Amino acid sequence: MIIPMTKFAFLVYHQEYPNFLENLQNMGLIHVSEKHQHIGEKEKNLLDLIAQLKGAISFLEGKQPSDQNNLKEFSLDDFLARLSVIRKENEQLENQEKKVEKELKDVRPWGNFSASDLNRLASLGLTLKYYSITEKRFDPNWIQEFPIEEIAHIDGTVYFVAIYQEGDAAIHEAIEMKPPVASFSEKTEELALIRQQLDQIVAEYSSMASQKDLLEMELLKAQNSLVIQKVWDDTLLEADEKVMLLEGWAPTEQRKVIEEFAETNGVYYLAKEGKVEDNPPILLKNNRFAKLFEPIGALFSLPIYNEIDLTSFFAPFFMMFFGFCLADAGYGVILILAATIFKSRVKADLRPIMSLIQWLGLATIIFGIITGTLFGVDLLKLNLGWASSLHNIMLDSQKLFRLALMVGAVQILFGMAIKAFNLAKQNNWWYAVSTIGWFIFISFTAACYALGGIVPELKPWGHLHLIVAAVTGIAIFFFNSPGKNPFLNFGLGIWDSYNMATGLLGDVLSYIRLFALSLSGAILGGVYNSLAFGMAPDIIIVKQIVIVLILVVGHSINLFMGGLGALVHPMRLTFVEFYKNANFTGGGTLYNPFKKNN
Amino acid sequence: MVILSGVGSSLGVTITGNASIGALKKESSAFGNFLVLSALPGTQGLYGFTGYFMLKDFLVPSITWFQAAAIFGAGLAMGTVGLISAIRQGQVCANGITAIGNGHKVFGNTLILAVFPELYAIISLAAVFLIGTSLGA
Repeated sequence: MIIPMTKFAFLVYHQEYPNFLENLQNMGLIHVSEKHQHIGEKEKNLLDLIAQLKGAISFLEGKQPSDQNNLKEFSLDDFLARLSVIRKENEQLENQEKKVEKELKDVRPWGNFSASDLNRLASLGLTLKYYSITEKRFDPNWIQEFPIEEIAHIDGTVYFVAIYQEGDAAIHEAIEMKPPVASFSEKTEELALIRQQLDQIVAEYSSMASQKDLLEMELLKAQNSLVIQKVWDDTLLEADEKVMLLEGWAPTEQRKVIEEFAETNGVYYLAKEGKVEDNPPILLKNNRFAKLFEPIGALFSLPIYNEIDLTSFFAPFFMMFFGFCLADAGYGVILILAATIFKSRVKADLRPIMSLIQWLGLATIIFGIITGTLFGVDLLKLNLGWASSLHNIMLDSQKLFRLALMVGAVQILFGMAIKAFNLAKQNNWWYAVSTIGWFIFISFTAACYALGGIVPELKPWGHLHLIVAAVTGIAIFFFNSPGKNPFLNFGLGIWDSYNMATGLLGDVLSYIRLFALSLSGAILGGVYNSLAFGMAPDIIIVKQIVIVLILVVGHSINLFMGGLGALVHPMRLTFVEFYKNANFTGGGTLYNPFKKNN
Repeated sequence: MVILSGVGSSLGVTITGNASIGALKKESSAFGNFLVLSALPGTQGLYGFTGYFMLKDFLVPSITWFQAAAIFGAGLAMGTVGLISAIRQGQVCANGITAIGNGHKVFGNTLILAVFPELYAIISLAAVFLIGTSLGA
């Protein structure tokens, strides 16, 4: 159900406005009507600050906070600036570290040497060339033939240097390497220095992480400031900017509270009942069961103000479809157990999701019994002993196929009935006559085909059927657009009939997916069972371990994939087939009152 | 039946999965929408599997030529339609995911438009069922 809304307009003297806004925020009932088209400068700055704070908090989340008490006064701007600087420094140092590690690896064979010695050699016209070659290909005679010196043997490679003067022959068999940029000890020192700087940065991160709570408080302050700034941007300035006009919505049941608030604050106000043209925000009110399904409806769209809220109508169907798709009594038990265990451990806002999972688990158990599936085992083929009477309620695949189409037809007809009520609510009952005509015609035709063999009066296209068809035909062809020309109505009736014939067939056939998902899930479960018992080796203990392992992994995968499909496809059937036949328009805005975040 | 529709579904969900990864970079809060749209092309593979299951009882050594031809026809129909409709449905859903990632509120519209390619796969499955029923009779 959609809660009725009242539109309020407050006129406040400009000097009293900040105080008024603070009191209004504390009351937390008014959904402010949005007026501004673009984001102002102050709002942009607040959004940037919030983004920076969220980024900083998320970054410091993974850092170990230090135990030291930071006695320095906390300055947010300095903190964020410093964090940005040291993050950049950290990135640069990490890149440098990688580079120096690679250089260290390159200079390692050459060990320690002095750059001044190399310079002295160069001043004498001598150049050092650096070579490497595999031990197998190294010819010890080269030491006699060429002015070379072996420096190192590492991992089957010989590293040696050759002293060259201009005109000397090169050693072509060896690979000439780049001269080392520095000695091994110099590079080691450089790397140690970089790592020391990185450790200092990590220590500073820890110190900053211990101030994460202060950051979170600043984030809350910034978010509240943003909310207030948005309200300022939505305020109209009247009478030479001396009077502030603020418009908003609140539930009609809270009208007295708001009128008292306005009188207490000495503020002039106007109030009028909400109309669909004003696009009031939507606040849904449903019973405890249907309320669990509101997040699912919100994934698609909220209804507009003068529509029927479909949550309580699609909720039982959704639950049934989920159960139909997953259809395994064992999986249903697991869902209920898991939801019950986690319900006491999760945050308060996630508990409704756990309750929803419990209901969906119950539906899965029921349909598991109906389809005769328990952890992939086909109960129809088993001797159940004292529970053999359960076989009477179990359906084989042929009957399941028909059941899927039947539940689809029922939901579509139900949707049509809701469409009639919706049209009557939005306009008047004359607008619903054509839809009622279709509903009666389709239902009666289905009843004739189903019962025509048993009840002679209900013979398809017999007298009674033709009479009903004629009466409903008048409603369909001449009442589809009240107030219009009868010939236009007739033409629209033909178009409506074409849409109904093609659309209805496609919509009903769409429910075959329930049968397909149910059957494939059961077969896959059975396949995992066969794999577990068929592939296990005939060794005591090992056999049992392998069986349990395959069963756990296989059924977990099946439960996850089946659960995902069981969630997605009923959603699709609800949002497309059901909503379409119920003439759901959607597009409502969520009621979001101006209040403080805690 | 199983091969072609399975290949179609795996290609379809790959297309939507890739689009979702890209869209998550822009709009990480809409993962729920992306998940629903990504899973839609996966049903054709299930339809192929279900179609096989409906006809498997006829796969015995004493199968007649008529039955074999009918099963081959059913397999070709289901497989071909499943393959192409899954890929195309994946492309429709991927475009919807990209649009949601760019900030457009088109989840419902995408769901509706993605129905159209899948309808033909459902009709093929219904045809397989009817072929199985007539072979049984």
